Amino acid sequence: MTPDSPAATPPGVTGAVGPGPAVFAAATVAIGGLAFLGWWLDITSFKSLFSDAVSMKANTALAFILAGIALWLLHPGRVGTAARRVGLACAAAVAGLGLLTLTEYLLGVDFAIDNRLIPEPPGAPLTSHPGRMAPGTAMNFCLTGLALLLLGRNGSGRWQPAPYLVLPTFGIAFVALLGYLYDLDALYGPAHFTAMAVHTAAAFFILALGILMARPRWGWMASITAATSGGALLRCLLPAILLLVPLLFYLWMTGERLGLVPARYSLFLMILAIMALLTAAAWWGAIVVDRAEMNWLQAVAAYGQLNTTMQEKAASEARFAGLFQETPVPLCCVDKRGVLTDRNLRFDQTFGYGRDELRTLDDWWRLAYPDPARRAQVLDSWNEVLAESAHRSADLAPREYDITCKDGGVRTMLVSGILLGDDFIAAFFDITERSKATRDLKEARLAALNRMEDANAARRQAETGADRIRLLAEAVERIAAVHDLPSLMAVVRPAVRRLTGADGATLVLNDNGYCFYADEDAIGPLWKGQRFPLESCISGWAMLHGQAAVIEDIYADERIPHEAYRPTFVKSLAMVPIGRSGPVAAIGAYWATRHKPTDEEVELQQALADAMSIGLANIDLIQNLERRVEQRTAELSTVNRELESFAYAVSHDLRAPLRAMSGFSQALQEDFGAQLTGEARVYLEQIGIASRRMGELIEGLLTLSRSTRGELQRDRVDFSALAERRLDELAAAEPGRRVAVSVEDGLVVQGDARMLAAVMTNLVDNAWKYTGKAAAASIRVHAEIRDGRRWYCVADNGAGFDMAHAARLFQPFQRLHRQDEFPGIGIGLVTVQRIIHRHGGEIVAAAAPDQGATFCFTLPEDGLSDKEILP
Amino acid sequence: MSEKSILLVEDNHQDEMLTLRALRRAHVANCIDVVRDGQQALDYLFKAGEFAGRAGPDLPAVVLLDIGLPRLSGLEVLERLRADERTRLLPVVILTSSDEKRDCLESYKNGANSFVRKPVDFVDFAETVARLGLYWLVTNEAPPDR
Repeated sequence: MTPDSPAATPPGVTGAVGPGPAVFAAATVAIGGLAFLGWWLDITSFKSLFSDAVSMKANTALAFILAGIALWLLHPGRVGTAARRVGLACAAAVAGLGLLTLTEYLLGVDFAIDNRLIPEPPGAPLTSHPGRMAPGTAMNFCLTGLALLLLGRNGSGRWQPAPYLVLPTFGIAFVALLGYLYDLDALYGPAHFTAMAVHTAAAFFILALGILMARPRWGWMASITAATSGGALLRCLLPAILLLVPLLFYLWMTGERLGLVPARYSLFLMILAIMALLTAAAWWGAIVVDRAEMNWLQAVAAYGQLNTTMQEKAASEARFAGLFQETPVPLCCVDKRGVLTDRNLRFDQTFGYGRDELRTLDDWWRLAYPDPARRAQVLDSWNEVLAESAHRSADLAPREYDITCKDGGVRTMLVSGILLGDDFIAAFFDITERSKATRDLKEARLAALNRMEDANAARRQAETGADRIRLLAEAVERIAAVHDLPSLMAVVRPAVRRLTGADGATLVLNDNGYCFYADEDAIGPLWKGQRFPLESCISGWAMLHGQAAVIEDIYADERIPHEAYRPTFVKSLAMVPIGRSGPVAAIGAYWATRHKPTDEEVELQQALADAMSIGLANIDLIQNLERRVEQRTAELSTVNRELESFAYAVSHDLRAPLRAMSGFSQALQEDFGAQLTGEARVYLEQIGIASRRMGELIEGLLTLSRSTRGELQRDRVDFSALAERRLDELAAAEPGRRVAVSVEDGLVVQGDARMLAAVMTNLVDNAWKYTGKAAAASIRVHAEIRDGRRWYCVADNGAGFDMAHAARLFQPFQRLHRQDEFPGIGIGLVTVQRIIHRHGGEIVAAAAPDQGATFCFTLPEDGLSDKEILP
Repeated sequence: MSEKSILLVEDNHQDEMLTLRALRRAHVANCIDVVRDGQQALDYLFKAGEFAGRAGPDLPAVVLLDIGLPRLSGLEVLERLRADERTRLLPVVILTSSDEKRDCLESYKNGANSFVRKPVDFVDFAETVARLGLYWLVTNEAPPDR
């Protein structure tokens, strides 16, 4: 800490040392001037203040004027070399005058300078040499002149000579003044020499003070003007000692002289007063020192703080500057006018723009965003950020920009701004790599996610796929089994939900241009029973376009009539048509939460729809078949009725003329037989034969017709008994014949008794008839097992037939024998075969000419136990 | 005997001739009236139409009724007769060429007293008719008059 450094002077401790040197200079000049005026105009009171008092010599007055001028011109507040030269000349003149006068005294010579200006008459009081200044005055001028000469020196310091030079001047002037005060002439006028005038002494006092005040930090003055406690103490005590003590002494002397105080106590009073004065001075001094010290301490503290702050600030600024420059992030400072005031190394390196081409923000926009459209966008974004920042009084929020560099490369930067008063610092974070990395990562993650989803989907498919396929298969199987629409819908309705996992399902039929919501199965009511025009609902769309409608967000799809959906839970749906070409229906699946139906779900739904379309076709087909069966049945019953009426006509109407022919021929024979000739009778017989044959034909036709109509009865039929009874009848009718008959017992079957009786009668009759010419006829009725079936056989050893003609056996009215050999109408075997076939059996013949014939037939054995068949 | 008559309802003229011959030969042909369709039969029995105010007894001892008749069939005639209080108890014998089970059943259901099939063979036919005439005119006791 340098005491002279203004910066180092603590505030409030500046040396307040009184009026400036100009005042002292003026006072000095005034005193000297007045005295010189007195000499000039011979005004005694101006020359010497009192009568009989020594005068201020003219030389002295002139020297004071010069000294005052010198002080005024040379004190440090003045500038200018001319004034300085004049001041120095004046000072040199003053010193020279004093030195010459002193030399006169010392060497006893007269340089004839004493009365050169205005001579003083001889005999002037207290004057050894008229016109010559007192030796003390000369001494003082010597010293003050020198001091004034040195006053212009530069520099400072305790060892500047000026204050020391004026110290004796002070002493001489002070003593002289005390002499006048106490009326002690020795003090102002040494023996035999000219005395110093009182105003001379005063003028020196003032001049010396002026010189000291001109350089308050020089020499010992530094101790007084110091802002230290010592200085303060001095400034407090010196006036008390130098002014009050002499004043007290003067009062004491005056009091003693006037006899106001008894002599015995006057000294005591004097000492008491001095003690009081000194005590008060000491006290005052202590207070001043304390105050100074407090000030000092505060100042020290304040200074320390300030110092620290300043150091910190300096260090901070240094650090900031370093940081700003060295930060590995591009930074630039922009002031409120939009000028780039600073930018760091990384900024230059990154963007490559020179300081000349990039001075302002406008330059920046132009360079960094060469595309005008893009630039406009960026400016909009930037202004938005600025507005937001101003609104929130916050820093500029980071935003991403693609910045074009000098080399043409584009880098993605995250730009943020830090507000510093009206300026801001823009920071650029290069996220080009990061963006790329992020994009790559995103893609990689997406790919990974896709793979995971694929894997998950595959797993789910593996888990649920099998279940769903099973469900689908079940549904398809059940669809195939139903024969009507309600059953079909009952199968499909729940299957849709189970297959797709939907919250609801509907079946919609295309009903003459309307979508008829025929059935539904859902967590909440949909539109069951309602009709909507095909064009205004999604099921209609699916049917008209023949393709599925898959809608994740129904309220975002124009095909959806939104009003119809608002009361429902539906958020997403899939609608598939039933029947790919010209769909006749549709299946809808609905979800209560937003759901994107998967391809698999839609495919399953479509598969179900396809199955349902087959189901619908089946129903159609089945109903068609049923209709056709009904139709056929109706046709058949018509035919049956026609056949019945034909049979009726045959049985009723054909018999009447036949009866008439045989009847009238009989009547003719009976009534007029005697009148007829032999030949007439033969004719009549032929009519009778023809009538009987006609009757047989009619009987055969009736039997044949009856065998193919009427309900089949389920009776117990005993072939053995039937055969035996018929053979007995035949034997009785032709008692002349000898036939070996063998009928197996227990040939019992289930069937229509009347028809099976006709079978047995026909077969036995045939056997009887065709064995008519056999030598040893035999007829055998038995059963045998062939091909795991029971065959009932009627065998004879009669005429037989050639198997080559076997095909004609079962044709109506076809015969293998001539009427004259074996009469017959050729209807019996046809009837037999029809009856067997109606029973679900089979009949075969085996024969050879003259070796007999065997007819065997089977009958289904349902309802027949072995026990009944095999007793 | 003269009191009693037989009504033959037969549209076939040859059958009529043969029937009448058989009855004559059995000596029951003294009072036989013949009509040729169902409507005539009803008119005769109720003395309506062309038979209004006919002579003779109100009702015959027996009606020999064919089934296959023009206009009204025999079964319809039988139905009408059984529905009318006057003829409800009148003996009716169905005499027909048909041997259909159904005709037989329907005849009995409608209240026929007998069902006789006309045999194709003339001898059998003559015998049957003769027996019928004797039975209904001689043997059978008619329901009492009201």
